[in-house]
Amino acid sequence: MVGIASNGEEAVSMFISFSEKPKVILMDHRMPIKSGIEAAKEILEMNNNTKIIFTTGDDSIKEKALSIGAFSFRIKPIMLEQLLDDIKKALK
Amino acid sequence: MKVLIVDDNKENLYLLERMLKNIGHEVVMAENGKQALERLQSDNFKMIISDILMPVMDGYQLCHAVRSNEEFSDILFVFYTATYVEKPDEELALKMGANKFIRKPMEPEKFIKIIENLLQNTEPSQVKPKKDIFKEEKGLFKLYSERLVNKLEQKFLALEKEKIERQRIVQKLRENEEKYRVAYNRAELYKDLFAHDISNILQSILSGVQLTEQFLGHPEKFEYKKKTLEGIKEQVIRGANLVSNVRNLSQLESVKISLKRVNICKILKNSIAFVKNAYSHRKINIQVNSIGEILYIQANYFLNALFENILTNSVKHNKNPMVRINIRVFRVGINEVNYLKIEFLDNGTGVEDARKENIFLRGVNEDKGAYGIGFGLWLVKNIVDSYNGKIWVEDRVKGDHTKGSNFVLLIPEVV
Repeated sequence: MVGIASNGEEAVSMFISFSEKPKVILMDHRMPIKSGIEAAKEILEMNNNTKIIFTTGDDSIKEKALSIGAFSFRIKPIMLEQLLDDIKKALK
Repeated sequence: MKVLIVDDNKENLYLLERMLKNIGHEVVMAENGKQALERLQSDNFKMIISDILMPVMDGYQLCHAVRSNEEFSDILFVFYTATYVEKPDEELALKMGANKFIRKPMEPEKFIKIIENLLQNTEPSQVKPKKDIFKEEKGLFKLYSERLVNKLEQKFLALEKEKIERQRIVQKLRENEEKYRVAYNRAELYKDLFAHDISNILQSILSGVQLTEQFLGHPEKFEYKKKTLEGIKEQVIRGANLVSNVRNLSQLESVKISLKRVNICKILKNSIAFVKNAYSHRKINIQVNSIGEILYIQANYFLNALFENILTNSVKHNKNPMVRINIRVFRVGINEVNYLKIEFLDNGTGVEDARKENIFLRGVNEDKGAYGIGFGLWLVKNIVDSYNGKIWVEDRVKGDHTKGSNFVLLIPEVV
């Protein structure tokens, strides 16, 4: 099952609304209303079992993303195989 | 012969000493008139060469003291000055009893010639002036005070001028620092955001290509592959728009492009044709309802970019099979000024209330860690500002952003 949010605030709202929480979240960073880092912080505070894989063009936030508990960090453009590999590892 | 040289500037003393010693004279130094008088008490000199402007006791006072003392009646007195150089200064010096008044700077050879000539050709009776300076004391001191006041006034004016110049330089430095800071921040922002936007475009293209590759041997996936290829084409167009927008924005911010009378209807027509062509794979219906065919504003060639970006934005953020954009152009009067109001109503995904204010911004809203989007809309805002206009976004259907947006432009009309 796949859900789509177009900004950090939508991501957090959707996360709260799901009774069964998503196991993996592919999170961009530079987004309107709320950034990926802010959304990830809130989501992990609610449920730290969710694995957040950052997929962003902004390499300056790598350290920050990993320090707040991101599962992995990928810089765009990302090869599909790499992304699928990260998702498989996150789901284990 | 022994010469006493008097100057508060050590470099001047050194140079004078060198010149006089080179021609065989013995030299003693003093840094002001008071020190000079002390030296005179303990030694015999043939000549005194003195500056005028000195602390503690100046040259005029020294000369007066020397000429008032019979003990020193045979000592030649030469003024060598850079500050008191006007005719009245020289007159006072000679009245004080100086034998010579020399203005700095003077070529060493010429200076030495004058000194040697004085030393060799001045009769003892000629050393001290015939006039009794005591009788003219009151007049002398009046003159002395006048010269002093004159010098102080000149110095004060020079200081004032210097102060104004310093203030001007400081102001210029501040302006340059501010320009540098703005330019640096702009460069950093462009670098970061351009890199970010290009990364997203490349990601979409890469993912599209890889997905198409996966279904190469699957004819039943034709529609899916067609849609993916259209998506790739859109990303390339997006990339081209990005480059164009960055170039335009850079020009807009760095160079003042002059405005002229432009017919917006003509530019609008061209922009509609451009966007339809760029997105030929999409079904796009654009209607224009205008109060006239010829409507003028003060603008420039960026007007094309303005309309193209608004229209492109409406197409990009629209998931409907048919993109509908209704453009309304009419006149409004505000505070006795006529404006053209141009509305772009689309059936796209709309703009949430929380984003309506920031949608034209680039960079970070520090409080929420949020980012504005779109170089395009940032460029649009900058262009509208340069036309002394306004732009904002509303819901096409009031209160329901999901039904689409209304981008509203307000630009002063010209006849």
